[in-house]
This record gives sequence, C-alpha cells and structure tokens, in this order.
Amino acid sequence: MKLPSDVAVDQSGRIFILDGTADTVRVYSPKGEQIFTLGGAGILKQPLGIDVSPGGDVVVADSGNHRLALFAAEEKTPHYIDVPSSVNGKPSDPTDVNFGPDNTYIVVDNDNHRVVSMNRSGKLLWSTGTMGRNPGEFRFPFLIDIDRLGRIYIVEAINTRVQVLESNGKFARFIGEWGIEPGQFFRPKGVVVNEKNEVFISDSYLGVVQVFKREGGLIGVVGDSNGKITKFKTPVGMAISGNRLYVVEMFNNRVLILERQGQ
Amino acid sequence: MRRLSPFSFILILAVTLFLPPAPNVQAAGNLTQNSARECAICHFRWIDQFLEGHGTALVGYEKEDVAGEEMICFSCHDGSTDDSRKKVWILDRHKTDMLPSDKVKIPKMFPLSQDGKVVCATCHSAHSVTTDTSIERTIFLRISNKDSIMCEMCHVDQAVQDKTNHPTHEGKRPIPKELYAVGAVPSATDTNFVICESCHTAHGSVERNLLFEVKKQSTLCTLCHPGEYDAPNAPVNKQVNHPLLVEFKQNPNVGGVKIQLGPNNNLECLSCHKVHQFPKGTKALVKNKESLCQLCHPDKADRSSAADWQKSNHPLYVKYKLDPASHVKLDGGTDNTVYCYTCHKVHQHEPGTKALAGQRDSLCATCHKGEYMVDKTDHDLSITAKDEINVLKQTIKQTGVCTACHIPHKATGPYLWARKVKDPASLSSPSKLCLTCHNDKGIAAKKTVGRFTHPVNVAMQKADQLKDPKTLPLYTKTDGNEVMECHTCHNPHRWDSQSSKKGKGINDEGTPFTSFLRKRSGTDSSLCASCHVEQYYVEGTDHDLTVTAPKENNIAKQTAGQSGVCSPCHVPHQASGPYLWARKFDTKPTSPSSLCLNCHVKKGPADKKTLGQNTHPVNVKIEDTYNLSLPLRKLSDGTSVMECHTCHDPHRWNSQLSKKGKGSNVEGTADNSFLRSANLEKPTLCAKCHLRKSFVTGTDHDMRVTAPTSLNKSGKMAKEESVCSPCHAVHNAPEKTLLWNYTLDDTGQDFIEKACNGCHAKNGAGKGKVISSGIHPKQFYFGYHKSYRNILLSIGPSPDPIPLYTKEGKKAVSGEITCSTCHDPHIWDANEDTAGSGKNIEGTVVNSFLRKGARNELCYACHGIKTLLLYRFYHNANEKKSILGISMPTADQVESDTQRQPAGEDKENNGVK
Repeated sequence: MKLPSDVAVDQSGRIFILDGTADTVRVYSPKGEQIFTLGGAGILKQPLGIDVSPGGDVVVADSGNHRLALFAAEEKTPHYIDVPSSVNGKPSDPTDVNFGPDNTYIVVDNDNHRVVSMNRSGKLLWSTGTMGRNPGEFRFPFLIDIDRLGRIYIVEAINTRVQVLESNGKFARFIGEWGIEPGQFFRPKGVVVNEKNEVFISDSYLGVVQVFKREGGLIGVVGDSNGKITKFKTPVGMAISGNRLYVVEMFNNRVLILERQGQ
Repeated sequence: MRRLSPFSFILILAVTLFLPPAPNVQAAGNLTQNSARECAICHFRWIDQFLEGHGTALVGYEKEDVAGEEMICFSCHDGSTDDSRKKVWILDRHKTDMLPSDKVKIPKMFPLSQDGKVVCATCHSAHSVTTDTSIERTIFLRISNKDSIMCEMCHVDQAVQDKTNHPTHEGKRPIPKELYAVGAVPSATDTNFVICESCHTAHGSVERNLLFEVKKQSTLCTLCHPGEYDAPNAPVNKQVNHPLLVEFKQNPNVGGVKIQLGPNNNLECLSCHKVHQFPKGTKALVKNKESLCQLCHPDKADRSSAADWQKSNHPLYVKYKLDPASHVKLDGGTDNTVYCYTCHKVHQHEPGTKALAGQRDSLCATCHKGEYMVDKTDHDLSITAKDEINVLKQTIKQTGVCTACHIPHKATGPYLWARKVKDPASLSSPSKLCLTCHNDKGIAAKKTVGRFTHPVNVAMQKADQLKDPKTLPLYTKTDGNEVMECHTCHNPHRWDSQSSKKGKGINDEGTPFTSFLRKRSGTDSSLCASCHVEQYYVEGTDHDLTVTAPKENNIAKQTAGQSGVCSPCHVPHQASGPYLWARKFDTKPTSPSSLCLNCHVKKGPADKKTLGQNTHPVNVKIEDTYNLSLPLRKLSDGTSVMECHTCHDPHRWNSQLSKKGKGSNVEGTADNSFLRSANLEKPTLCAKCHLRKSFVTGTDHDMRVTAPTSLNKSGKMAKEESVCSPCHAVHNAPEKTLLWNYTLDDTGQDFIEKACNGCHAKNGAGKGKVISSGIHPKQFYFGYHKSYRNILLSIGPSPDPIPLYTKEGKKAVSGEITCSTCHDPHIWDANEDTAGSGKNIEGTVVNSFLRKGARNELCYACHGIKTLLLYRFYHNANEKKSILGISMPTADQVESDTQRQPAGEDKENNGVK
C-alpha cells in the first residue's frame, strides 16, 4: 500500500486499511494476513476516511467522488451515497465518515469546512460549520470519531485542535490547541475515542499520539514501557479495539498496532 | 521520483501513557489573536520555543527553516487540506532534496535549501504573485509561470530555440484536448502554442521526464503528431509508420547510444527521437539519420568489404541518379546517396510495405529503371511461374516483380538473390544464379542450356576481344581476371535490346532478336561478333550456307537465312556436340574433325568438297608443338594432335584478308580455301610442319621453275599451284603414299622409283634428267654381305638420316636402297637448308638433292675406297664399269630380281651367302 490514511477494526478483529491512493480498502485478519479487498479503480477515487459498523458494514468517505461508498457486511459491491455540495455550490470533499447514532452518517466535508449528518438514504439531516476559527467553525476538518454517547470529535488540521460536537451538531468544546508542548498540536490528523472516553489524537508532523480526557485535559503521550515517547512517522488515522491501538503511519506505508499495558 | 518503501506490516508495540511536564493548556479559542501562529504553520522554525533556543517534550530543537521542505508540505498535502499524495508523492514529480545538476541554471529568485538543494519552496511559496488565472497556481508558485516561462528560467538548454529542441512558443494546430484532460496547461499567448507544460507537469507524471500520461494512445507525442503513429489494431496493410510499443529484444546499448525504451522494453517515439538537445540538422533524432536505423537493424546493412553486388544487403552510401520523371521521390540527402531512408520512410510510408517510400516495384524502378523492363517479360514470374515463392515465402502477387528474384536485405546470394539456395558456396559465379532456375528441375526447366552450351567463366584474353564492355559486361573474378558469364550476353531484365517497351505480358518464345540478349543475334551479327570478330569473316564465304546451302536446316530446323550465318553450324545452347555444333550427327563425334566431316561427306551439304580416300591424315600426334603456330587438339594424355582446323580456319576464307567473303560460291586456291596460311607462292602452311620439305621451293624440283606447264594428276598446272601440288595432293590424292599426285612410272622397282621415274621420264616434267643407270641392286652380291640395317646402325643417328624404303614407299630401317636413300627431293644442297634460287641449275655431286653423308657413310660401308668414283658416276654405267670392272645390272635386270623376292623382306635374314 502507498500512503494509507485511515484504519478501522471490526468486532471480529479484522483490520480495514484504507489504501486510498490505490482506491482500495485492504482487509487483513487479526494476524495480519490480507483477506480481501474492497473498492478499486472506478469505485473509489482517492478516499481518505473509513469506518466499520458493529454489524460489519464498511463505509468509505470517497473524497474524489464526493460521496460515501457503503459496503454492506461481506459485500463487495458498494452502495453509493452522494454527499451534497455546500450551499454555495462547491462540491463536497468528504474526508472521513462515521456511523452515527440512529442510522446516520457523520461526514466531514473538508473543503467546505463543515460536518454534516445524513441518514442512510443520503438525506442531509444537519450541517454545521463554515471556515473560521471560532466554535462551530472549522479550518480543514479532516478525520473524526464518535464516542459511545454520540459525541463527535473532529480533527481540524489548520486550526490545530479537535472540536467536539454534540450528537446533534452543537458545539461542545475544543480539545488541544496550537503549539508544540504536550497537549498542543502542530498537525493533528487522527482521532479515536475508546470505551473509557479517552481521546487519542495523532500529530503527523510532531509524530506523536496524545491522549486526552473527554473534557479536554491531557492524560499523556503514547510511549513505551520505559517512559519514552513513541515517535511515529506521520501518524494519521487510528482505531482502537480492546486494548490495542492501530495507528496509520502514512509516509511509512504501514499500520502500527500498539498494545496497552497497565491502565 | 522518490520511491516509497513497500508496505511493511503491522508492528505490535507496547504502549503506555505518561504525562510529560507541560504548561497548562487551555482549549483553543479565537485564534486570530495569535497571528504569528499563521506564519509558523509552515515556518516551523519560527515557533517560540525554537526562537528561544530549545525544544519541548514532544519535539527536539529545530534550528533550520524547514518551511519549504517536503515533510512540511506533506503535512498538509496528505489529504488533510489537499490530497496531493498521488500526484506528488506516488507519481513522478520534479526532483527535490537534490543538488541542482549542471544542466540547469537556477536564478536567485528561486531559493534552495540551506545545503543548496532543490526543495518544494524553490518553486513554491505561499507568498506568490497573483497574476495567474488559476487560484491554485497563483497561491503556490513563486512567480507567474505564464507560458511556462518559469520552467525555462532554470531549464535554459531545454528551452533554447536553436533547432536542438522541440519548438515552443509557436504552433499552428490546437493543442489536443487529451492533453488538457491529463493536465496540460494552455499557453496564455496563443492556445495553439506549445509550451513546456503542454507535455510536462511538475507533479503527477507517470512517464519519465515528467511527461503526461496519455492512456488512450499510449504515447504523448502522437497526440500532436497523429500521422506518425498507427493505431495498435490497425491492419498490417494499413500501417504507415514504424511500429511502436513492440518489445525491443536486443541490447539497447548500441553504437554509443542507449536506446530509450518504454515499459516492457517497448519501442516508443523517444527510442529514435530526442525532444531536447538533439543533434543539429536531425529531425529531433538521437543520432544522425544516416546511421540511426542501423542501431537497431545492424543486420540490414552489409559492412563487409565485398563488392556491392556480392553484399547480402542493398549497398548503402553509394551515389545514385534519380530519374527526373519518376513519380517516387527518394530522399538521398543533398548528395543523392543511398541511405536507409532513401528507400524507407519511418513515417507515412507506403501502406502494406516494409516501410518503403513507394510501392515495391515502383520504388526499385526509380533507380533501376532499366532493370524494371523485366516487367511482363518471361522473367516476370507472374507470367511464367506465378505460384513461385521467394526465400521469404512471398509470392509474386504479394511482393511484385523484383522481389521474386531480389530482396534488399539478407539475400541468399549475390545480386541480392531472393531464391532459396541450398549451398551458398555453390553460387561461385553470377551464372550460377541463372542456373538456379534454368536447370532440369527448376522453374525454367524448359529453358535449360543443355550439355553442350556456350561456355562461361571464359577469360577474355585479349584486351580488345570484347569491344564494348559497357554493353556486354564481364565478371571480374577475385584474381582480377575478367571472364564472360551468362549476363555478358543476356540482360535478364530486358527482353528486347532494341525495344524500350516492357514485355507483352505473355510467355513469349524468344528469337535471336529477343530472348534477353543484350544485342541482337542470328541474322544480326551484333552480339556474336562482339567477341567472335574473326569468326564473322565467314560471312559470304563458302562456309556461309546462305551462299552454298541456303536450304540446309540446323537442329532447330532453321536455315541460315532464317537464323543467321552462324546458326547452320552453331547454336549457343542445347548444341548437339562440341563447338556448339548445330547439326545432327549420324555417329558420335570423336574429334573436331568429325564436325567438318558432318558436311564434307557424300550427300552432305559439302559433298562436292569431300576429302577422298587419300587425304592428309588428322589425329596425327605432333611432337614439337612449341614452335607450331597452328591450333592442335590436346588429348587427355597431354599430347597434341592435328585436326582439320590445324590447317583450316573454317571461318576465314583467306588468311591474308581481314574481310568477309564475296558472297558467291568460289573455287579455292592454295592461298585461300580457309587455309590458316597462304600456301601458293610459298608453302608457308605446309612448312609449319614440313619445314625442310619447303626448301624445295625455287629448286629444280619446284615445277614452277623447271616445268611450269606440267600437269599433275588432278589436271592442275604447276605454275598455277603451290610448290607442293605438282607432286602431292592434300585431299583426294590419287595415291595414299606420299599423297602422290603425279604419274607413277612402271619402270621403277618400288614406289619411290616409280614416283621419281614418273617425272624423270622421256615425257615427264623431268625429262631432261632421265635416269639411264643407277638402279641400286636389291639383292646383295659381289661379296657385299653387310646388311643395310647394321650399316645404318653403325652410322648412328644423324640430323640428316639416310633412309631406306619399303617397296610401298614407306621409310623403314628394314627397307632398301632407293632414290630417296641418296636423294632428298626437297633439299637441293644438303649443306644449305634453304630454298632454291628459283632458277634451273645444273647440279654437281655436292648438291643435286643428294643427302649429306650418303656417300661417306652408307656407300663407303660397302664400296670402300671405290666409293668416291662410284658416287661420282653413279648414274653413268660406262664409268662405273671401268671403276668396278664389272658390268652393272640394268634397270630391267634389277626389276626382274625384285619380282622374284618379296619387297621389304629382311635381307639380313635372307641374304645370299
């Protein structure tokens, strides 16, 4: 794979890696054996974000085609859901998607600096955000995750923060800020929230993954058992399954799986 | 392009979370208050901590300004703001992180990194000009790249317009839409103009040299040059360009050039062409066009030192003269020289040909106009062997007339031979090519040359033997000798040498005027007379059958009037015998003289000129051939024998005249009659073999001196004939012995005496010298008991031997004494081997045709001291009586004795005791 961007893990432990430059989703067994692929040329066009539902459905944010591609569990032929253009007519740029509550999709529209919610039929339920720095505004939102309660965590690459929205799209808070100190971001890219509501946020230029409380307080930085910060090469999308953290190292063309020790 | 490492799969790391020391962080609010942050988004070095000189727990101290470096750019262009992953990082892109080569000149306005390398910021900046219409381009380029001017500022050599680069900033045709579709940028000046970005892109190329990928036609060049490329599915007979996208299976490093190949080692436009910095004067080629083709096609050029006609490929670099009327225009450069491209066109060549500049036959005919006259003749195999295939398994219908026999490359033999040859070494001469068809099993089996045919490989010994070598070409062998071959007489491409028209399109039966002869033959002497000049003196002579036997047919059932003066006796091919004999033989010829007797026989066309029973022998072995200027027949054992043609030149009536005959049937003399040397005044011909006998000329035995009106038995008068003829007849002689042609006298004891007495008789030509006495006894008596043989043996060999003769007149050591024992009738004075004075001279004992040594050796052996007187008075009976004291037997008595004893009987064994 070349320059993968995101990763998702289903309930059986299968790993879905989005090899977007090849327009392909590569599916691996928990042991790392490639099982099958989804998509391909003509189906996907340089997608960036992926999510897997508890039922095994796979949804891909296909930015090049301005749409979502839904691969029903164990199906290879997708169902497409167009992401609507912005109000000023600019085509959508869906860079990530998550299965939201109540059979919705929460979609990041990167070029239009907004987040939208759509039902399974593709109907726009709500849209929030314009380009800006204030709460409810975005500058290049990129990848997202949703916690157990439906709260939406959106990484803003240029605003160098994670903006948290309520499940209905209302602003809740920011996590992190501009800077290079712990708890700050220079190029935040990926976000994933675990069962404990710990929020893992990757920084592709600093090469670290920091962990925050849901409320925003810094818990720490991912490191090894010796207390040394683990440096990643361009960490981007992430996933969590059990006590394992899956980190896409885009520039290294790989996914690292880290297993948590202790609490 | 920087290569990304392949995917390496999942690592499992232990992870712990720890909290490093950190300032209190607050959730980001309105960020506009921190304007420096906006700069530091790219200018990482400008972050406060670094400016203060330290790093943080998350990142080490950054002392370099990395704003324009790759990872800063990638940190946004990874899809988080713009997705350039594929275009910039996976596909080909302008090189970065490298020192500029000496091929580029980078102006100062395009900054390099701290260590002098090209980085993204060399070309790009967030602080760019705003002149471009495209916002993306405006944002990130340092200056306007209108008409690709920015590219040209660094790539100066690639942009200079000195006819070593593809022209830019000009163009008459619109740039194809396909190029725009893959990212080409239109010229802002004129959308027809070609600019760098018409073909190149700084990011996103899949081809070398940052070229656009054009999947539809596989090659970029053909979008603008569609006529130079054939669609992959184009049928062969529609293709008009050199194949592209075919695998090149040779070593691409040839002739100092590395042939550029595309994916899968396929040929592409750039295999032959260079778009930039190509050699001046070429059409954007990697090498001059005179030798470019041979890089890949070395087997199509024959670099051997062989003569052009022997090369297996059409010669190159030779001058040619183009027929101005030809509709095929060849490219021979400025000096009309044959290059590959003279016959071939790489682009827009004749459909269905091997990249030829014209249809096969027309193309060949452009230079080989004369040779193309073969069209529709018997040598046009579409007429005579339409199903025949050449070595390339091509039929005439497929390839045309010329290719049936010649192929321009990889020929099987000389003259670019196109026919299958089992053993190339067998083609040792040009004529062997002809025989590949003209043999019993060949396609020209009906036109073979036969066993007896005009020879080839014949050295032309005399410089002027062939008077017009331009018309009748010879073949120069490796030893420098020039020999005639089939093509000396035949031009295989031209049916009628006098006609400028092609053939009739039918299988035509040839005549001496056609048949691919270089000159007319038969009734026209042009061809044969070119070599056989002297043989043509036969015209108008008695051997010209239009004169002497006009109704006579040769083996081709043609008369001399129909097929020419040579034809009654000779045909060039399928002759009946040696000398290309043109007449039927009743019996197998055994010698050249057999040919003469083919006519000079009873009921033959020359039955009035037969030889008779008694004729000069042929097949006679000649010992001394060195001084003999007459032709002989050499036998297989190395010896030589005389034949009719030794004395006769059947083609020349008079050896003294270099001209033809009078055209009438003329009775010959000793000066003509096809004799190789005039024999009338002096016996120059006979003398070539019978030299000493020719000394009779002018002596008393030259009847023209002593009896000019005497007649021989043929009724010929001495004064009108040669010196020999009063006594001898070469043909039709009355006597076999000595071919005697004068009256024999009955009084002689043997043939010699009869012959001598025939003349030395009362009514004979030698009536003034009648012998009254002197017949030597045949029997031994008077006590002489020695045999002649022993006497002769005791004398030993001598240059002037003393001969004995049989009764029949033949020399034999067992013979007897007769007239010729003491007299040599041809030598007047044995001490002087010369001809006579031409006057009738009274002889003495030292001349009078007496042999040298007869007296001192032969006579003395028996007669001792009496010899002197006996010799002196040999023919005086009275004197001899007084000398010997006995009466000598008369001639009648001797004759009587001879009849009682068989002639030639060995006296030694039967001698009287």
